[in-house]
Amino acid sequence: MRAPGSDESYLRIAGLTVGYGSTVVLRGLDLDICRGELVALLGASGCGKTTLLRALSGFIEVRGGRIEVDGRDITRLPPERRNMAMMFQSYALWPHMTVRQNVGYGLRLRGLPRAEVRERVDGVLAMLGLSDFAERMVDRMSGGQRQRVALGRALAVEPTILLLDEPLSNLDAKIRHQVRHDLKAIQQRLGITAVLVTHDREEAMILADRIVVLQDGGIAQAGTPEEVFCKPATAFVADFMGADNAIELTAEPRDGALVLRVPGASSEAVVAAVPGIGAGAVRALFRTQAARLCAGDAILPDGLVLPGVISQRTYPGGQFRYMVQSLGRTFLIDDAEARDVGAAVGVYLPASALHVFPAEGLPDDAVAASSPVSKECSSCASLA
Amino acid sequence: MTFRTRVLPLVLTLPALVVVAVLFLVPLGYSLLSAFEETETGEFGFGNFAKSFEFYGWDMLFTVIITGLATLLIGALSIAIGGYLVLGGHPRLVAAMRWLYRWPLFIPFIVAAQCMRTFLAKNGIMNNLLVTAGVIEPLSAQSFLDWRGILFTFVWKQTAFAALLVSGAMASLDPATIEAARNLGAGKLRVLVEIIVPQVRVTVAVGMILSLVTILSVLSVPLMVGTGSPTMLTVDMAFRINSYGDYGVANALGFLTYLLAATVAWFYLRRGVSTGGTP
Repeated sequence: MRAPGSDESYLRIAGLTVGYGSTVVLRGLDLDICRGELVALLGASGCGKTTLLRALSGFIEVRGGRIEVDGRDITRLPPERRNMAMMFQSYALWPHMTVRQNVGYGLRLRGLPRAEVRERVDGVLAMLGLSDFAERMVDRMSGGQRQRVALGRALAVEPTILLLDEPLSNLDAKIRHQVRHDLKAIQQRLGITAVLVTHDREEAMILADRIVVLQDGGIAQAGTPEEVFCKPATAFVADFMGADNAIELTAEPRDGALVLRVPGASSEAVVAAVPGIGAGAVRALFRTQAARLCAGDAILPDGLVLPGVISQRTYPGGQFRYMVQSLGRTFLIDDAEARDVGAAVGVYLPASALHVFPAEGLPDDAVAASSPVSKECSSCASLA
Repeated sequence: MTFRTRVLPLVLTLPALVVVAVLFLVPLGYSLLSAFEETETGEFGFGNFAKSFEFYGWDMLFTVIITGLATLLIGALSIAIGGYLVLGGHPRLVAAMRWLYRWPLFIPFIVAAQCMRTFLAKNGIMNNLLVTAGVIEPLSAQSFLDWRGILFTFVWKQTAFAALLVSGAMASLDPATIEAARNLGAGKLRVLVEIIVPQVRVTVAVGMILSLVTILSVLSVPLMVGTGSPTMLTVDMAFRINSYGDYGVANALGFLTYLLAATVAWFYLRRGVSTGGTP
């Protein structure tokens, strides 16, 4: 998968196969990353994202394929000769060293004069707002400070590639939100090539120039955050990107478009024609925030209205979140209006909210081969 | 309330206290008193210590050197073994090392000493192997049943124990701290010296201190392997008792040995206090 808008790959992964024992984790994976690009590897636990990062850093022996950096084959090089810096999920700071010693260790390994090490460490600490803590032992630092020390240690050696292994997962929510933007700003300012592993969709969307969604050791989809969010290539990607309400519909091609209906209901939604999908059953996924509630007998334009009953109401903030039982399924729907549990409602699904895929039961490769089939949501119109 | 909080705990710990008192504190106190009791006159004084230094001064120095050297070697080897188990690149060799290094743990000192007698003697297995391999001439073969044999036996026997402690501590480190150093460009030796050992230094020290105390108390090895003079204090103590029935000098030697062990124990305990009770 080549980086969009670029004809030169800086980090090239070709046919990479990696496994543990008899288990093959990555299966012939191909990925090109441009210089200065931040790519997020996103996926569920066990999909191979951390394995890919560890293969890049040299901590796992590769069974097949190649890893190249700027045209140089590094597939068999030991970790210490790859000039990549990794930021670990646990931060992996050395508790017997001060902040300054941690950050300067990589520079010391490179044999730089002591004065230059000190100068560069001071620069990194100043950039990360850690100047006042230079002589403090790292085990006396807070989680957020440790995270910055770990980042500083990785950045101090000016690596060719920065590898980030769930770097924010140990921070509490408030700090995490702030640090995301700090991390992105630093990466952009330094123009460093980075690979980020995360299972946090929002984190990937904010930090990454490009998101690579991994599934079962392969790439399910790669693209900009907007592309992956608005045009998921498979039902798995759509589900992972938050479209976790699913419904079976019937499709009927008409005048170059696809008309979607709920069996037994009169409303219909018209979406763009989808290669590989003709008349018959399809599976549609939609986000909690993309649907809304209406009266059970409402007739609304260009969308489906499903009859349902509210079975639960919560308030996560901003809007109410309703659990609605409809057509034998359970949906989560956000709506601003306060409604009672037990009330009969209609679930309005605008055509733009629907991501349509072949119905379940089709072979996996048929699903994977299908191109993005959702009608563009309003926020993604510019992607067309 | 009073019974449950004050009396019951005492009752529960009483058996252990009695065992410690009867089997350790009373004999220790009796030995200490006996060390200061003149054998001929029955009066208290430093005569036994004077005699100990006069007769066994070189043996005291020999004991300090042998135990110190053995302890240092044990520390170094345990670090090397632990480091290989953590950083070793060849999985089969690492597995073999993991399996092999513990064997001496299950061999008593007296058996180890007997094994070394057949291994290190002039016509022992080691020399035969060296001659067969053409490394030495038969005429240049020499016996190692002296200070070298004692040192070799102690190190061989006790390294397994220290390595067990040290490798356990190394294995419990966050592997990411090791990977982080390698990721930044550190070779394996540098990772061992600069990253791993500083993090397990307390465990290394514990292994070395416990080994030193063990070595100080072993009689069979210097008796069976070290055939000449000087020898170790345990041999002298046994000799004073068995040959002369001189418990006074034997206890004085024991007291000095205890002082040596107590010195390192003091460092160990002081470290424990400074780290909040963690050994």
